[in-house]
Amino acid sequence: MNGEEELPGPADGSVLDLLTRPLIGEITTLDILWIAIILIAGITIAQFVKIWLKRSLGDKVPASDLDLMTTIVTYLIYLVVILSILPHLHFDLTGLWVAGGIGAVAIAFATQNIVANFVSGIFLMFERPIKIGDTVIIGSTWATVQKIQLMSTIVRAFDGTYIRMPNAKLFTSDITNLVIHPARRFEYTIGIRYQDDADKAIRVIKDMIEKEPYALKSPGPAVYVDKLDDSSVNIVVRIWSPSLYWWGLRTELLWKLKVELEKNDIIVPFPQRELWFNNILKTDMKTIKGPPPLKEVPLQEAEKPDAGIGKSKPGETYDW
Amino acid sequence: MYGRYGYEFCIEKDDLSLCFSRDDDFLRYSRDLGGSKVERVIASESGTVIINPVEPLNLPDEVTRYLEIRFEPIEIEPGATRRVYLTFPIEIAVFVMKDDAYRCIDILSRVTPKYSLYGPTDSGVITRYHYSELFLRSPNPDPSLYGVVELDLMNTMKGWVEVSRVVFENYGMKIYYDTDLVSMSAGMKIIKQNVAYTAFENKPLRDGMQKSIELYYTRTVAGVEKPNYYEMLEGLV
Repeated sequence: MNGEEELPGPADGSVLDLLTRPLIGEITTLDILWIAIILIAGITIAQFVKIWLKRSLGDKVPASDLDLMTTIVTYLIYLVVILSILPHLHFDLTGLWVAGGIGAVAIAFATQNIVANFVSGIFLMFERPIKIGDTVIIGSTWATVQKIQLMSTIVRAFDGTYIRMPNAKLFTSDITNLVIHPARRFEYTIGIRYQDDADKAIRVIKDMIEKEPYALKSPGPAVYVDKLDDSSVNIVVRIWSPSLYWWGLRTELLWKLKVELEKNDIIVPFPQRELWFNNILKTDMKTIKGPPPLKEVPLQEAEKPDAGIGKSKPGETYDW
Repeated sequence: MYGRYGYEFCIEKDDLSLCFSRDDDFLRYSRDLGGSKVERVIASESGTVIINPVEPLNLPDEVTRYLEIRFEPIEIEPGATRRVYLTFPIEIAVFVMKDDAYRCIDILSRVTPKYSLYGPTDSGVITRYHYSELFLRSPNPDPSLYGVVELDLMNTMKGWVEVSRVVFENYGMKIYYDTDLVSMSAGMKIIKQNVAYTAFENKPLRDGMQKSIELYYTRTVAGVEKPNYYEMLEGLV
């Protein structure tokens, strides 16, 4: 046949021939099969991922955020599916990749803050350092967490103000969660007079703590003399309490302890300093109730100039 | 004092005074316990008042769902099952009931509550704490103060085990009462030196006892016999 290579035709009849025979332009039956497989697999994976996301994050992420998240993930999967199908449609992707790359760089620059917040939000949801209702310190802000969203977290400061915190900022801040553990400890320092009985004071304090429901039995309280201070003997009181109730206990118990100690004749002293004078007259300072009385000194007459015996001046004589 | 009453009655016992009285079309509830007073106005024509002991996990607030009872340490030989009796604190609930709908209007207790921590401070759980003597036969405490837990200790291990506390979860806590006794039946299955399962049994300590209305409903599906249990992972001593 004039040396021309014979194209495979239907007469060959093999399955491979059938699959590789162009149907539309350069698209073969095999390409169409691949497209069908990729489409089915993509749609199945997208559905599976959607269901998995809803099941695993349903109780952690608000419904609106979850919808947004599943939509984005689904579109990303569909994008991968489309890009996988294009070679089977014999599109030349070189130009598309170049344009896409340039576009991606531009979009990345434009949306870096949004992406940072989004990614931080995802990590926060998985790491869960905070949850709704927790009392937290974020940076220097003391607040209660109200809402954790994909892009931002809403907290209410202790003065009632509304604060929207971008997740990227939250993620890179120091987060102190005050209630994440079931129990926490607080401490008082109570001073008593030097003449008071410290053992009795400790007993009174322990009895008072025992009556408080929220002062935990275990770990038990620690009450001990910590310091012999300038004006007082200092007793340290350390109490564990349920994290959600520690503030109420801390604010109420101190005054109760003060009142109970005073009922038992143990006084919390004022700052005071005792001064000792090194008095050479050995005066009994305790007997002095007021300023000493003025002592009257009798008037002494001045000596008469001629009455005394003075020292004779040279050349003077006295008549005896 | 436990039982079912009509809408007009008064109970007085020691420092407790509890009254339901008519006030025109309304019902007035007043309670005084050692100077702590509660009053409620109830709009109801007719119905029933139920007073019964409930899970001791409500006062002064619903802080926890775990009850921890500490007791004198007991050594249990390998493979043994021993029955002991402990006391638990009583909280008394007052319900008003109309047809099949009931509502708790007051909870009171004559025992001062105390809380504790079971486990480490970062991963443990807050528990309602109670110290009990260990009894080998059922004691008879004042039913307005303490109830009795009949506890079966099962050591499934091949070594001796020391036990000095038991932690229960509120779900499935079955309390029975009569005029002289409030009781629960429970089991503790020790499976490792520091691990045990605890669960309640739905049976009274003696015949004729009434079952209390439960504030916390069991999580079991109706018809499924498997009991709820709590896994004590933080030690038995």
